[in-house]
Amino acid sequence: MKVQIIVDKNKCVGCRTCELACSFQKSKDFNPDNSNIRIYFDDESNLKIKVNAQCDCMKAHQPLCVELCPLDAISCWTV
Amino acid sequence: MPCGWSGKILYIDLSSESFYVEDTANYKAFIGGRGINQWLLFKIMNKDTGPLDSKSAIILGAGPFVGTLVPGANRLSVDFKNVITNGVGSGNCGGQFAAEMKFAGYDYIVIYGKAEKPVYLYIVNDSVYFRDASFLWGKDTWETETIIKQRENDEALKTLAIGVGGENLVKFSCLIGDRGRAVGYGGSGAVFGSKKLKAIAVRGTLPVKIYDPEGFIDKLKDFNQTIENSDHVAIHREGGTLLAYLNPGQDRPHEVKNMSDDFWSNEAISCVTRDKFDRYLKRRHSCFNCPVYCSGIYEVKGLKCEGVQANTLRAFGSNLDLRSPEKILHANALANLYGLDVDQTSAVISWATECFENGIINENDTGGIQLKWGNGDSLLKMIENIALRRGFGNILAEGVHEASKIIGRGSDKYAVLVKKNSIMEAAMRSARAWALGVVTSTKGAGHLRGAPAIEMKKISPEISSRIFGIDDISDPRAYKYKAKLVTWQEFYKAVIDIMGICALITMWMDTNLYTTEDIADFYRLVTGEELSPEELLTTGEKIQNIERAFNLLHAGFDRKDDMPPDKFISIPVSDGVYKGDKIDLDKWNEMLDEYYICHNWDKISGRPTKECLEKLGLGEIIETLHNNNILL
Repeated sequence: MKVQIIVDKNKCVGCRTCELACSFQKSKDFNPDNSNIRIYFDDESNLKIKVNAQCDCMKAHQPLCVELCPLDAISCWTV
Repeated sequence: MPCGWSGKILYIDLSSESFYVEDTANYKAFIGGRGINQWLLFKIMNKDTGPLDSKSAIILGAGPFVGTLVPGANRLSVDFKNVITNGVGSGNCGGQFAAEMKFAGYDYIVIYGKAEKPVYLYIVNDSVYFRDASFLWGKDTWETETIIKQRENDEALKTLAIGVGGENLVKFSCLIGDRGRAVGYGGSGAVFGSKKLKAIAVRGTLPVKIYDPEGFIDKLKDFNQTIENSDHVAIHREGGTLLAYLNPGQDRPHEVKNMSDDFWSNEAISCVTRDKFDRYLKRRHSCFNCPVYCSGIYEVKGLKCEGVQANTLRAFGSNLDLRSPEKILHANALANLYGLDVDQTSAVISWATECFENGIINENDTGGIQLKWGNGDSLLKMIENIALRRGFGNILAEGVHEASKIIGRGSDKYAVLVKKNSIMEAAMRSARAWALGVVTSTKGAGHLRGAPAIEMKKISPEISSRIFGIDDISDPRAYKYKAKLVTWQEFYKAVIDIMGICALITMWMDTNLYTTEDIADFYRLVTGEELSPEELLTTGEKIQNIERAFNLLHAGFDRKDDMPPDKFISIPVSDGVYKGDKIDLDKWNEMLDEYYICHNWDKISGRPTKECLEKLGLGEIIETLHNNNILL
């Protein structure tokens, strides 16, 4: 079962907790490079958010990135 | 690879453009962050080596929690020999850099030597590149990051850079991480500048492992609930430190006109409340993995900066009696871009302003600049002149202690110094533990060692007794018990800095956040190592003693340097609920006696005792002091 992740750019403050949560859900360690969500800061310090089209992290409940985002900026649904 | 730690210390010699690594585990007794930094610094730095000599070292450290999901664990500790005091130089910034360093495989980066021409370092996992930075010399901190990202074609790299202030060896210049996070106090920017090191860019693709993933995530979710329930967190989420600080208006102590008063009226405050800055706010901004996200990206006059925090307001607002949000923000942007410490920049300009207002200096000294209270345009001009070491700015770039010697004419009357470092703090006349913590700070007058913000939170005797083992701390004006509270805060703050947690979400301000039990739990789950809360605090005590010994060895600091400046003793608060408050010198000395007893230090001299250092396993320090003719 695949999951579609959406990050609300208007709510996101760039804390990158989602990057840690995603990599943790995949491999039980922390590595933003292994995350399906990446947050960058451009030359003007605007947020640039990249999300893999579909993730396969849905197990028993909602993805950890959704659960741990302090701004509730991430939503998901199964596809 | 160990759990929690990345496992390696990277040593970089700029003179020979070479590097090597050592296992972090060799220094496990000091755990991490500021702890290992301070131990390495003590061992590396010779007493006769000046802070800007090529042999001088500057150490970047990230604790075992950094790079994990432990909330707010993003701090980079930077330790070095203080450019102003010659004692401990120590700063700490949030942002992204520390975590990226861990992902590159390093807990520490130790930099020494001096490059022949300007360089920046580009570190990608095992690779360390020494890049020509001639084209970056003269660029501001924001441009520097932008250009390095473009040249390395890497949008994910993180930077720690100096601006023109560091290049020109301004004594209170600082490092700026991620364009907006300052490593304040001590002149870290000048240390980089002296080494011709413009910036470090780091990029990592390696994992940080933890010992017990399942247990960790359970603890994390539980702790996150505590964060959600905290009123302290809620107000900082709403408006950062500025909203929280100004919320009581004139009914809280401020710092006004070169620390001459603690009263700032509601009329003045109404001009600079948090919402007055909103028109310049581009977006809210967070440090790495922080649940409080207290910062913002602002734009003023075409300049971008991060802020605006309570410190910004104290430094460029009340301390200069400046009431223009635009000018305050503009000054903050310039300080960030030039890489100047906001507090010390304000201190030297406010000191010069008081001298100007009292006729000790005039336009002939300042190059025509009218240094008057509340004059924002003069402030902006003087910041630029300091960064460029132009005209009168060249004198101010030396800091208040040196500048007052150069000017003479009795200007030292207005210098507000402890250990040669300027004090830039509110509440010095009204809160005893706070004042004691500020004055005894090993980094030279500041609130980020033993000054407990909790003193002003009206903690009940029951909670105080349970947590601190102290009957009552609810009255900030009382001297009784305060030495014990400061001692506890020193050890606790060292633990926070060792782990890499931001102080804002700790027991420093809210007794529910990061209790020592919480830290011990996270430490076990992250690293697999067991340390009790008491053992953690003893490690904090160890670090405090290393710093005290460093100050004694390198700067000769002891009891005489733990005294408050005369302004806090002789000039009372002028108005408001704290009217009449000042420091009573006799009571201060009694409190100081008790403070030394709490540390098992010598009451007469304020020096660490042999017994104390031996008990903490710091026999090597006794030997070093002895070899330098300092007998304990």
